[in-house]
Amino acid sequence: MIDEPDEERIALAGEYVLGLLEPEEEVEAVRADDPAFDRAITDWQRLLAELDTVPTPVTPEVWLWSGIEASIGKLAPAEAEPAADTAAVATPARPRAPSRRGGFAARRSRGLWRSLPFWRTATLAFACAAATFFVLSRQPPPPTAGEALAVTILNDEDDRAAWLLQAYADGPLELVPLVDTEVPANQALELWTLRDEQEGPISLGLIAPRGTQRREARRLGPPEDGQLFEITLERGSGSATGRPTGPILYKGFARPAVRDLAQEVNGDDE
Amino acid sequence: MGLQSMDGAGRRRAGGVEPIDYDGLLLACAQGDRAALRRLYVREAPQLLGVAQRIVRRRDLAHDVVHDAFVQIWQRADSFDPGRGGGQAWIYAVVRHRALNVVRSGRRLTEYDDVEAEAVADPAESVIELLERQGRHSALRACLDQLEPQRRHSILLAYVDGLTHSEIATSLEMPLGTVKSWIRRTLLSLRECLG
Repeated sequence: MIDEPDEERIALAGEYVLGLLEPEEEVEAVRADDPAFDRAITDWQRLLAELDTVPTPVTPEVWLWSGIEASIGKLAPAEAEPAADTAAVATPARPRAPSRRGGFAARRSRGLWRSLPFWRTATLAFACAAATFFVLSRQPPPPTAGEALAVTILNDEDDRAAWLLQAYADGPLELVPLVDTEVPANQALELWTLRDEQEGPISLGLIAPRGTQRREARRLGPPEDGQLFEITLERGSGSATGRPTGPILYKGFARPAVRDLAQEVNGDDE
Repeated sequence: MGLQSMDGAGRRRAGGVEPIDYDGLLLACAQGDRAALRRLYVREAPQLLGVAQRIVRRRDLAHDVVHDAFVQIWQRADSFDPGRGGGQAWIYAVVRHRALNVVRSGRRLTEYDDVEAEAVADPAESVIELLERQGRHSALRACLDQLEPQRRHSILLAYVDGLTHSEIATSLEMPLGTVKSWIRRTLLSLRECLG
């Protein structure tokens, strides 16, 4: 049978499903063109699926679903027509055809099979992945990593700048202390943001008084203009109530960064 | 029944008795049906979070992973190929890859600071202990039990705990090259055992 996977494919597919074969984008590109390899991967997923039941379940935070809903709300569903000015080559998904990612992936995957790394290597960024995202979302193209989306300066009671927060599209929130906060023993600093009065404050976790730190906050979406951030003083393991209980030491409001929006659909540049 | 009930395929179910049609729900997602995504979320979020947290070791990162995974599931539901009945496995694969991505990009470690010491500690129970506790009888368990303990352990450390080849080598105190060839050969014999 043409599609019968050989040992090589079985082993590599198994490693991929175990999480030991990278980069993901390359493997997915090869898979799109190689039905035997694709089948070997889906077989392994099915055969090992029982191991997904091993970890103990975790109760979701109440806001997780609304975060997901908000994020998909900014995207058109998968079948939306591509934006007029996209350069992406994504083809319609159904019927599922080989090389469904179009020209870029097809060119890359020829000869990739032999060079497919066996061991873990650095992840490569693929332009086609970003372009596909653009087609589906009808948003301006995502900012490149390192470009800030929004900046918040948290001031102390005397309106002196105490912390700088920078939000990035492609990375965690970055926190830079500008003052040295004395934190009493058995207490801790906790970072909060407020997107919506009804939703209430959301904790972004405990932070140390010194040193640049990063906190994952992309699940909440990019900070809106004027979005409140504050740091309160809580007990050592953080507020137990999910709401700030201690005094607000620093607070500030997010301001969107001025980005290069030359590629935005309407051509507005604000 | 209750929280620990299993369906015919041996999967833990969050609640409810009827098995759900994962392939059908993914198809509906591909057509823009948000209620379908919501149903998948209600059914699977706790276990998906458990899978993510086992790999990223932090509750907040696990939530980010599951958030990102659901967005990806929504966007790429059209790329899922039904007819092989692997919808549930596909969903878990998306979550696992997003979790591994977080770990491999070093985010789990760079955000670590003293106040969160407990959060990144090793999981309380080893993957072996968790598996033992389940005590299930299935083709996979039978084939895994036939493996030498260290080889079985290496597979579990990779899949459940998300360790790399070199982390597995460190954990088992074996040379890296040995672990790499073990895993490869173990995969082949596992596949043969599973048919």
